Amino acid sequence: MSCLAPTRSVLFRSRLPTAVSRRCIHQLPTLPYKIENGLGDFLSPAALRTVAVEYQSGLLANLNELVKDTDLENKSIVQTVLSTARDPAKVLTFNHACQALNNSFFLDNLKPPSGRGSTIPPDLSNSIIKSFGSPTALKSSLSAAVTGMSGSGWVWLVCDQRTELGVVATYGPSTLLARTRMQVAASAGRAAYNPNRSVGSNTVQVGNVTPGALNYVGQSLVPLLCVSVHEHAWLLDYGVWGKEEYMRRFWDVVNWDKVDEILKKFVRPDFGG
Amino acid sequence: MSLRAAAAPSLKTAASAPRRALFSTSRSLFSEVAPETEPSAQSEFPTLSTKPLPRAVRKEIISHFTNLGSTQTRGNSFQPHHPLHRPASPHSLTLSALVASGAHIGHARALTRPSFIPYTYGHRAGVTIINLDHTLPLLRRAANVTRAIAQANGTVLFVGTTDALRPAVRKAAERMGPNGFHVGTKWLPGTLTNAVELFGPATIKSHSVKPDLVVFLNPAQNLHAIRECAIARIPTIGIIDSDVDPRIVMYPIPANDESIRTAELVAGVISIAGREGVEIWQRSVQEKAKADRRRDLNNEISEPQDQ
Repeated sequence: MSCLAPTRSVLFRSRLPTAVSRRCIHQLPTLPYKIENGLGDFLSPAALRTVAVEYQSGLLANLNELVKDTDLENKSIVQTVLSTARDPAKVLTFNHACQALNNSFFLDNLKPPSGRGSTIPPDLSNSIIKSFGSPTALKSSLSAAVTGMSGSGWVWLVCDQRTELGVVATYGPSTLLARTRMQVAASAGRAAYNPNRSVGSNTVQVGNVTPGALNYVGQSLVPLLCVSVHEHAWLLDYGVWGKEEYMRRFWDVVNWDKVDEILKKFVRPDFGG
Repeated sequence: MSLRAAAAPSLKTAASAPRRALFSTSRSLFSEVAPETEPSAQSEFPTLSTKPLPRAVRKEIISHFTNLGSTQTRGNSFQPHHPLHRPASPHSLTLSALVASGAHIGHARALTRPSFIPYTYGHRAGVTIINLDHTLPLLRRAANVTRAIAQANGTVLFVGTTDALRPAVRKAAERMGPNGFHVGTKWLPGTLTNAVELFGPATIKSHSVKPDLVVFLNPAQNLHAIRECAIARIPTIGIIDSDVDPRIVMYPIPANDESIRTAELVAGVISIAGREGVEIWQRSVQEKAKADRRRDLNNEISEPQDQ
């Protein structure tokens, strides 16, 4: 745009948002921490680079190719996910956008461990105790859900408007922000639902998760935290079978302050939950 | 898959006891969608609410997730309403913006006005192509004229008399605040030459009904208005297409008069320059008032009043 580099007088500082003259494409978002230092014992710098840079930029590159010259090209990732969730013709776009969003959400709620260790803020702690009994029970429940998944997916800590927490596990590219076709089919109990034929979004319950929670996805649940259950995340540091150790070390890098902040933003019991 | 089989029987039982089941529990409205969970069997798990999220919460969630995934958000990417609501400023206007708005596409080759030929680049597919290397500096010149007139507290009138141009002229006039006006519907004949008849003698005495500059987004449909401006000696700016004589207005902008995006771009650029001029004028008024106050204070100090 500007090889012309106009000399703008300081008098004419525009108060309103300026025109967007250059085409924007999806690019890597910045993380709240440096990638070069890794995430403590959880992810080494190389592993963090695999998840945060290699995987994410590959997803965004594919997404850019798919949405080029369509009406989705100027939408944000979350808007892309919401627009394509129910459209069978756009399942590839949905898959890539969904994985990019979930991966970004997973990384955004982590932080490198400080020397003192992280404490759970009081509001969040009360909700955990109300729903699970203790933080240890929550960790055990979520870790069990991760261990029980034989396939790639995401495990979510969710909350409803009464600050009741729960655990939901979803396979493949799947979002909690909207009900996808598969979820609608599954919740209606339709016999046509056949997971072997499904391509992409596939939310099936696994053991130890809150039963029936999947039916409320996109309706009354908000996500607070998610865990990436993908081999590319633990392969470099822990080996092919390192999922359990990966989950054990995950709890040291969770940014509980951020989760508490999200809980306060997303949950408004005064609105009548 | 065993869980899927377990869910099916409970759904059937809910459906087989229709009336009573529907009104028995608080969550029964969803019984056809969600299988009922028996509290006694799963007492160690929390029971989650099924009530849909309030809209405020949903907006909050989407706004939190907007910054995740990639750097592209609604705020920093082009949206279809931007040419009207976020036009380019004259300082950052580029040739590509003009091409993107279709400003270079003129009318049929056979209809080319001979006096317009200096502004043409050539012909293609039976259509005249307007040379944007002329358009860009002429548009900036028109913007400079508008800024200078506004800087002297002049009023600018934007004229765009079709349904499609009405929002553009309205926004352009709003941008110039007290110095901007617009005609979005029909130009009433005699507005400038028969003002006493149209506005009444009382309004003529108390207000000034003649603008200091008129900007036409579709001059070809408003030739009578242009004639009135010439009679009233008011300078004019206009978007001139290839079938129109560029000499009808004082500052022609050779561009496509049938493209709405081009008209919005031109109106936006000119009105932003006009807004800058209005700001300079207002600042000069404030500074003059301050200087006057200072001078009055100094006079009082140097000539002490007799008590």
